[in-house]
Amino acid sequence: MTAIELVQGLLLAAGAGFFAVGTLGLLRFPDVYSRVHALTKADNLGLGLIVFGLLPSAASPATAVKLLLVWGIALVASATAGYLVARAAHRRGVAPWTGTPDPQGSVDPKNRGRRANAAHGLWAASVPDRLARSHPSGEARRDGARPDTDPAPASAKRRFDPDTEGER
Amino acid sequence: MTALLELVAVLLFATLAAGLLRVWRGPGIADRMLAAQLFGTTGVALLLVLAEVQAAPALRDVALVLALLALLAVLAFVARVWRGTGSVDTEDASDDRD
Repeated sequence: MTAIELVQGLLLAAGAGFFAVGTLGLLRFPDVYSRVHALTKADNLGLGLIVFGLLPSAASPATAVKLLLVWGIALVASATAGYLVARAAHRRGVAPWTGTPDPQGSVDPKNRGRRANAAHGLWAASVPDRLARSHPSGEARRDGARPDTDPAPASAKRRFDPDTEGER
Repeated sequence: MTALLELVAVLLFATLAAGLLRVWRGPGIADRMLAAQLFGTTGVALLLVLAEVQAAPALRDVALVLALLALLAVLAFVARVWRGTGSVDTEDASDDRD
């Protein structure tokens, strides 16, 4: 096995590894946004490494250019598609995964509440009310936060509230 | 070298099949569409590897077309099916939030 073949093998193995990890991320990540994140890594790097692993054994320059062209299309495609899907999800009000609470004692409860407030301000127009209620930091915000410290305007918060949806 | 390429092809096929689990479980149509996009890209890589293993240059053209079609599928999905109107009363709205 020559040195070039060794490098080829490493590149191909790394590319296949990126595809495996990207698929694992698509299966394990909790929401659309993080799945977009996992997917684009597999698209860009996985296919790129495999293409570069195949390049040295390309029979002609035309074949090599075709391989690079396939990768270029995949680069443009995944960047565009990832952005479009994430933007459409955000506009439709798909709630982002807000994560598990911080480990016990690592964060001052007051700071944690403020951070939860900031998150709700950012996503206030899109987080469904039932999700905010089921989330621990959302619970803390409803119980403890002053209304005047809440950065979200009341109208934006009420927009997707299923409880008041029928009354308006 | 051929053995390694075949191993890579088998691994890519395994990830291709595993990615279909996301199509099955969803929960939203966007998740299924993302899985379809990964299916397309993994399929492109698989075709490129197979073109080398089997000395079938035509498979590279297939890969090129598949890469283009995978992009068009996602664009059509975002532009026509999943347009972001902000409305919550379309039929799949409850499906997307889980």
